[in-house]
Amino acid sequence: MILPTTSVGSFPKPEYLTRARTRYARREITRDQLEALERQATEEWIRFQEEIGIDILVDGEMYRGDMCTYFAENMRGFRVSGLVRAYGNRFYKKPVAVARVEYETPITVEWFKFARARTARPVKGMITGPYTMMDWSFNEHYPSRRAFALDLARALHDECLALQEAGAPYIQIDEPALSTKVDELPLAIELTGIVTDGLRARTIMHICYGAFEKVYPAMLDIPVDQLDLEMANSHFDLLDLFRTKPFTKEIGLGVIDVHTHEVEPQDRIEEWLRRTLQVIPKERVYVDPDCGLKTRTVEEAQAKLRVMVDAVRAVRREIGG
Amino acid sequence: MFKTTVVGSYPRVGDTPELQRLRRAIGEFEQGRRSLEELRQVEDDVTREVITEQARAGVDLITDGLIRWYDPVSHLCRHATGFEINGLLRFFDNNFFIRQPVVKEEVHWAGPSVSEEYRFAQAHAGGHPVKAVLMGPYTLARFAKDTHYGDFRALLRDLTVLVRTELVRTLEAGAQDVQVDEPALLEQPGDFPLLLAALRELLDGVKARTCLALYFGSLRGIAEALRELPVTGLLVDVVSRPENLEILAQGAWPADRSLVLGLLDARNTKLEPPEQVAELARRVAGRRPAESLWLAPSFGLELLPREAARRKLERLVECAAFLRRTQR
Ligand SMILES: [Zn+2]
Repeated sequence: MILPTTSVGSFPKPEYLTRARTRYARREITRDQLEALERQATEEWIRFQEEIGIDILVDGEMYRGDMCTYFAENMRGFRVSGLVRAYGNRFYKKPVAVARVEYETPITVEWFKFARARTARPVKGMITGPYTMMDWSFNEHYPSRRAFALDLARALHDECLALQEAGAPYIQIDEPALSTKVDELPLAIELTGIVTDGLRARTIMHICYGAFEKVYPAMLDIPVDQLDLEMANSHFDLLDLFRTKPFTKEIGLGVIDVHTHEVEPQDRIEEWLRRTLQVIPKERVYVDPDCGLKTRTVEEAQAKLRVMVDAVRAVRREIGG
Repeated sequence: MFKTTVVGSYPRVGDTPELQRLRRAIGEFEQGRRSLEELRQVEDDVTREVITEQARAGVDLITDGLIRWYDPVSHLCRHATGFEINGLLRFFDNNFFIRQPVVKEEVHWAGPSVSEEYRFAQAHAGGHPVKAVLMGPYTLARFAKDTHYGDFRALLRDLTVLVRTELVRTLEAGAQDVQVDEPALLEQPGDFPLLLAALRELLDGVKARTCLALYFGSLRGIAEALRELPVTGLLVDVVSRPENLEILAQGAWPADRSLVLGLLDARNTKLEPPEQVAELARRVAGRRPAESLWLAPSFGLELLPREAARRKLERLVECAAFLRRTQR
């Protein structure tokens, strides 16, 4: 099939789960009670993705709070910080490396298996990458950013092996921090090499908020099969960049702006897909939203995913895929 | 020698329910369950608290913690006309976001902000010196999305007038130390002449002590020109870019003007050993009159948890004391 559709990772949590998380934080419900609702929400999202015809499914990350802290809490060497401000009146807790970071036990594998057992379609394994974990954590242990990140890369490699063992055909590494410090791209490439070393699964790196013009084409050296990029929020300006130097990997093509309430008109997405296919061969194009959809409402996220799938179907019919 | 100061912001929320009253008050205000006046009272209260916390740590020149700022960029724009405050934008390379001001028409000052905040802080600092902090016009222009002027210089000119209006009022309120932040310059060092012109206009005739704050980026590319800056002091983050320390050690900033070394990492909870801080500070100290050197964190402390920020301040003061004690 051409133009397979997928998602970056997170979906909005239904209201009953948001409420339950607050109650769990106040110790009004047990861990088991919370997890039961996380499973319920995950099942609902799996059913939704099947129903609208998404090709490669995600578990929706119903069990994650912050994307770094979730992994840190499940590794050795971290504690969790006090609250820091993210923006406005929003606060979050960050990981703090206080000892050598080591892989202890599978982190996302049980959720991967849970999702996989509920669908016949392929499910993606998803991890937060070592560069982002390093950049978004406090470091009280390591003498350098590199030393910290290298241990993270080794630990996350073990998680990838465990996901592959559990049957993940695709493994996605999320590196939203990567585009914020372009001069550390060589470090990110080295780290990714460690994470993806010897994997048979197809590997994807998701990068967002990019100053891509500063790292292109150098970012094509990141050792993964696919780069998943935000294209919609810059109105596909990146295509011009890909015309100057060919995009030599598979691309995860973000066609849905995750920061707007508006549901994209279908013909706009179709037009973007057609323009992309003039620049990148169709065999190498996967289609998904720009980023995780967790900041949208459930209704917005579902409407956006539906129109994405409809647009892809229309373009497939045109080109006979 | 080696007095201490801060760069500006301080965490407005801590980890106990008591320390989260401002967060709750804002939430309740947004839901219409609290009046603006009630919210302002909580802001006043938390501002007094962080003033006391900084003074108690022994910091020589403090701020009000910028507790009332929604973020470093949109704060002044919220007290002006011509802007619409829009979606989130990353603040440099931090996992911290500001609201982008969108310029819809000509921008004009429309009401006091920092001047009133300064007045309040000074009145509650018990005689402790307080400095006023303003985001500079160049950085505001860089972060804004211009849909009106179509000309960066024209926007910068009007923003300079806007910031100057507030700055003049702040001086009238009695401020003797004013800091202007222009971190965006370090991303576009080629714009130095633009910044210089803006600062000359901004600070024309100002008699107070003025300090330009530069953080997150490298001084490389503007080192030769620094001395042209029309300010009495310079604050530099030497943590994010270690080469900044070397540039300053080579005398890039005149010895007869004050220099604030942002030497303690404001973006990491780890506490630096005083010996290590002292060694770095001495690389710059040798060539300068002792009283012109200050120590500070590398940026405002609000990227740290509250407790870590307090410890960082205490460590800052310890480092300065260590330097004085071991002076050769
Ligand atoms: Zn993303």
